[in-house]
Amino acid sequence: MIHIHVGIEHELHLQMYLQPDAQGAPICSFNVTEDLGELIEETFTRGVLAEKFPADPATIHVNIRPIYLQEPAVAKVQVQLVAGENGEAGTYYQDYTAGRWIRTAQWKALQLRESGRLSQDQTAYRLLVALERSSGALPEAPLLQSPPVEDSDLDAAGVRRFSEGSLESDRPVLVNARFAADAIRRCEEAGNQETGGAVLGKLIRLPQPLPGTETRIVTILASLVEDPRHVGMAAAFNFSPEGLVEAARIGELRGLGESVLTVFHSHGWSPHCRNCKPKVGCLLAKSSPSLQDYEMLSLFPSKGTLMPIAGRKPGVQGDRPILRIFAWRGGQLKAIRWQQYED
Amino acid sequence: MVALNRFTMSDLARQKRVEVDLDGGVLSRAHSVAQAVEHYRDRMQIRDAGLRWTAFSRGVMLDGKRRLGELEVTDTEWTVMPEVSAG
Repeated sequence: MIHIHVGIEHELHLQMYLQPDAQGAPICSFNVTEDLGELIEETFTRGVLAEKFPADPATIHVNIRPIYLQEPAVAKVQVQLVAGENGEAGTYYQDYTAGRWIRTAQWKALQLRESGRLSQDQTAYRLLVALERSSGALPEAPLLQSPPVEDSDLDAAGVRRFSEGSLESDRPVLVNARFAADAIRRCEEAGNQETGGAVLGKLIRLPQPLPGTETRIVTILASLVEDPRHVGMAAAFNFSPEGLVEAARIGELRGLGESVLTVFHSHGWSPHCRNCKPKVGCLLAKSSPSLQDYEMLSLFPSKGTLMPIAGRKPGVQGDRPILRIFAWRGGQLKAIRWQQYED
Repeated sequence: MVALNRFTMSDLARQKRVEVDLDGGVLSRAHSVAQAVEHYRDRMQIRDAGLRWTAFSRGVMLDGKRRLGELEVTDTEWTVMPEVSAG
C-alpha cells in the first residue's frame, strides 16, 4: 500500500460562459478539485509504464500547482510526484490542459441545451480557475497501484515478426495483426451497427527496450473474443458482464498469462465512407472516444487502460475502416501510435 | 462450514485491486455482496452513473443480497464490473 501525501494550495473551479472572453456572469460554476485524483493516477501510471518512476514506493508526495494563463485563469495543471524522502527514489511530472472537467462541461452543455437555457446554435465557453483553498478539503488520494507486468521476451510473448506501424517511446503497444484485421472486418460487416468484444492481452517487461523506445514495458493486445451476448446497435454497443467473464476464462485457458485487458468497439461504417465529403452531415460517430465511452471505462479503472476503436476517418475517403488505439494522455484519451506483429 | 476471511476484488484486467479483511476491516460478514461492490467503487473513485454493478467469483455471478458470511471459503477472487454501453 502506497502512502500518498497531496499538497495543493488551490481549489479548481470550472466556469461556463456565453461569451468567449468570459465576460459577464458565468452560466454555471463547479468545484472540480476532486478531478485532480484522476490526474495523480495518470501521472503515476504513465511514469511507471515509462520506467521513469518507481512502481511500488512506500510513500509518494504529490505537488499540484496551476500554471496560469492570467491569474486566476488556468492554462495547465502541473502534477509532480516525488517518491521516497526528498525524492531519493525518483520524481516525475506531467502538465495537463485537460481533465474530467472537460467531460463535465460537455455533459453540462448537453443538459443546458435540453433544458432550453442554451439554444442549439449557442456555444458555451469553459474557463478553469484556481482559487486559494478556503477550507481544509483536499482531493481524495486515489488508489495507486502499478499494473502487473510479466518479465518476458518477444518469442515467449508470441511475437514473431513486426509489420506495419510504429511505437510511442514511452508507451509501446504491439497489436496482433489478426486482431487488427478482425476488428476492421467486423466494423465493415456491421455497417452502421456497432460491434465489439473483449480484448485479451498482457503487459510484459522485455530485457531491453525495443528500438526507438525508452521503456522495457510493452503492452500486447493479442486477440479479440466475440460473444453473442454483447449487443450492438446504431450508436451504442452493450457489453454483457457474463460475456466478458467468459472471455476472461478463455484467456486463462489459453495459458499465456493474458487477461481481458480492454474491450474493442466500432463506431460504424458505410460504403459512402469511401466517398466521404467533409461538409456533408454524417450520422456515424467519429472513430474517437465519445462521452459514453469515457463512462464505459468504469470497467477498467486503471489509467493504463487502452481503448481500441474502429470506424471511419472523418472527412477522409478510405476504402476500409481504420483501427485506432487510445491511451490516457494529458487527462483524456488520445490516439497513440502502435505496431502490428505477427504470431 | 468454514468462513471466508479475506477476499480480493479487482477489475477484469486485474490492474486495480481492493483487498478485504473481514476480521477488522471496514466490511464484516454481516455486509452484503452489494455493499462490498459499493466499497470497491468508492475505493476506485468511480462515480455513480446509475450503472448496474455485479461481482463474479469462479465465473459465477454473486447475488448482491448475499451476506459475506454466507459465501464459500473459495470465493476469494472476485471480478467486479458494471453493465456498460459504449457510444
